[in-house]
Amino acid sequence: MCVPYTCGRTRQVPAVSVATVNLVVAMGCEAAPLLRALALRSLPVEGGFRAWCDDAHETFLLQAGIGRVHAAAGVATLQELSGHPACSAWLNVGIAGHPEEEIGRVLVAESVHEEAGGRVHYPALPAGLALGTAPLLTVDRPSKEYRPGFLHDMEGSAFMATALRYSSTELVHCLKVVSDNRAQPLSTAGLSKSRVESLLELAVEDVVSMVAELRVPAEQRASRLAPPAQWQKLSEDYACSVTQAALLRRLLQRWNALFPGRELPEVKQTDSARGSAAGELLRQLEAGLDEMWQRDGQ
Amino acid sequence: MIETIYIESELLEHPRARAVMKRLPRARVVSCDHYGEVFNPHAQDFRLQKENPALLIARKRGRMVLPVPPGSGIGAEQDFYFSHLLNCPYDCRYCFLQGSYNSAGLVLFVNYEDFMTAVDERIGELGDGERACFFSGYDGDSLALDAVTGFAGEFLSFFEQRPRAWLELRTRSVNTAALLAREPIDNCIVAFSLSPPAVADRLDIGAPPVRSRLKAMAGLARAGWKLGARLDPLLFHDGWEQGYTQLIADLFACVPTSSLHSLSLGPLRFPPKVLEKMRRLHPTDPLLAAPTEEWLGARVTPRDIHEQMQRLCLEALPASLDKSRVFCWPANEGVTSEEQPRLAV
Repeated sequence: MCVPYTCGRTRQVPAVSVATVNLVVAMGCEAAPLLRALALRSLPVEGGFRAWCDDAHETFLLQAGIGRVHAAAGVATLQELSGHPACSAWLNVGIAGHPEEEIGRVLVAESVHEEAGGRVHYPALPAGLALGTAPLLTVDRPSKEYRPGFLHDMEGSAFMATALRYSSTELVHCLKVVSDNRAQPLSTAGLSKSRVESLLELAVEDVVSMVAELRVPAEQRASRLAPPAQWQKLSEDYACSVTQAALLRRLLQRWNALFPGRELPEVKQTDSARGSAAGELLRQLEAGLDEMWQRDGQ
Repeated sequence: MIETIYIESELLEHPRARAVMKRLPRARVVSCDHYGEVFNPHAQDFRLQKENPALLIARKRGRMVLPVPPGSGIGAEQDFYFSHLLNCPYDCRYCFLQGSYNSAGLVLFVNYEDFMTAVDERIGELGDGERACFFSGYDGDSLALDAVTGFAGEFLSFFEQRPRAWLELRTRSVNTAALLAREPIDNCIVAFSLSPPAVADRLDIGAPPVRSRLKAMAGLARAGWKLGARLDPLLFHDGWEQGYTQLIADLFACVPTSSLHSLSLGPLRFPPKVLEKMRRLHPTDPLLAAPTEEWLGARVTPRDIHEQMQRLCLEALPASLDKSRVFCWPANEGVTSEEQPRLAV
C-alpha cells in the first residue's frame, strides 16, 4: 500500500467494541451484597453517583439513586465510565413490590411499563432462563396500591429506555427481589437498609448467574460488531468522514470474508481533483475486491 | 424450542391462539397490546434472537393478500401472496428475511378467516377462465411450524373448494404429516426449496438435510400431491456444476416428472438495503460478501455467473420434463422461445 494521503478533515472514529456487563442499583444497601459477590472495587465518578468495577474492567456497578431521573442519568454515566462499549449488557437490580408474590422471591421483568408515560418495553428474555418472570410497573411514588400481577419499582422503565440507546433488547434486563406485598405492604417509614441488604442477599446468586449468562451474548455481539483490524488506522490516515469510515468498514469486512489473510490491494495516488483521498481509497478498494474475486476468489 | 410467547391481549381467548399455546405448554406467555411493540423496535439484535426466537401471536390487520413481485409466477394468470407467518425457525444464511425485520421473533397471525376472506375477494376479481396462485411461503416457511400452527390443514380444506385458486406451500421442512393424512387436492403445489447438499449443509442452518427433503417429496408424490422444486436461489459455490447436476439427478430419481407441477430457478437476489443489513449481520460470510450486480432494482449474483448456472441446470433437466413447467427469474430468462412457459393454464 502506498503512502496515504493526509489531506481532508479528521473525524473521531468510534472506539473498538468491548463487551461489559453493567449493573445499576438505586441504593447503597442494594449494592453492598453485589460488591462482595462480584469482587468490585470503587471507581472515581462525578455527579453524586458511586461506581465500582472488577479488576478486568468487564463488570461495572453504579449506584444511581432512587427514581427514574436518577436511573436514566446513572445509565448514561455508567456508559461513559465503562468506556463507551457498544455491546454492553445491562442489568437493573433492586427491590420491588408485588401484590401476590412472596417476599424474597427473585423475578425478572418480562415487560416494563411506565405508569407516567405509558411506554412499554419488552426485554428479549435469555434462553433457558430459570427464574420466574413478571411484568414490571415503574411508578413515581411508593404506594400501597398494587396492580394485580405486576412488580412495582421506581426505576425500571427509565433504566430500560436509556440502556436501550446503547445496547440491544436481548442484553437489557431488570431483576427484582420482592420486598413487599399486599399481606406485608411498605410501612410509612419504608424498609430499613439492613432489611434491603438482606433481601438483596437472597438474589446474589441469581445476579451472579445472570451476569455470566449475559456476558456470553454480549461478547458474541461485540465480536460481530468489532471493526476489522486495518479500519481504525486507514480511516484516520485517509481522514475519512463518518460515512466514508462506515463504507470503509464494510469494504474491509467483505475483503476479509472473501480473502482471509490476504493483503489489501495497493491504493495508487491519483489526481486529487477527481475526489477526496478517502473517496479514492474506497473506489480503489472496491474495484480491487471485484477484480480479485473475478480472478481467483470465486 | 419456543420458550416465550407474546400474545396480543385481545387474542388470549381466541380458539386458534389457545390451541397454539396448548401445543407449547412450557412456554411463558407475555401479553402485549400489539405485536409491533415487541417486533418493531430498532434496538434488537436479530442474530442473538435467532438463537432463541420467541413466538408472537397476533392479528393481521390491513392488506391481507398482496401481489407478488413481477417475474415470480408459476403459470397462473395472477399471483398473490399472503403471510400467516413472519420469519422462519430455520436460519438460512442467504435468507432475505433477516435483512427485512428488526426481530427474529416468529409472528403467527391467527385470524386465518380474514386471509380466507381476502383470498375469496381476489378470486372474485378474476376474469373468465383466469386462475390465481396464492403463495403462502413468502415471509416464512409454509410448513416448518405446521405442527404448532395447523396452517396446512385449515387452508387445504379452504382451497379444496376453490378450484380457480392454487395454493403454493413453500418449505424446506419435512413436516408433511398434515398432507399425508388426507387426500391430495388438485390445486395445491407443495414446493421444496433445494440446493446441493454440500452447500445446503453449510448454509441451510437448522433445516432438514436435502436428502430428507427429497424423501419427503417422494412420499408426497406417491400420495398424489403436486410438487414444486425451487432451485431458487441458485447458490454459487465451489463445485456448483457437479452439485447442481447431481441435485437435479437426485430430484428426478425421487420425483417422477408427472408429479412435478413446476420447477423454478432464480439468482441470489436482495433489495439493496436488505443486502447491506445482512452483511452487517454476517460480516465474515463470503457468500454475502461476494460482489453483486444491479438487476431489475435488486442486488444479484453477477449475471454472467448466474447465466452459466442457469444454463447448466436447464441442460440437466430430463427430456421428459415439459419445459413449460420451468420458470426462471426474471420471467422466463434462459428458456428459448419455443420453450416459453404457457401463461394460460
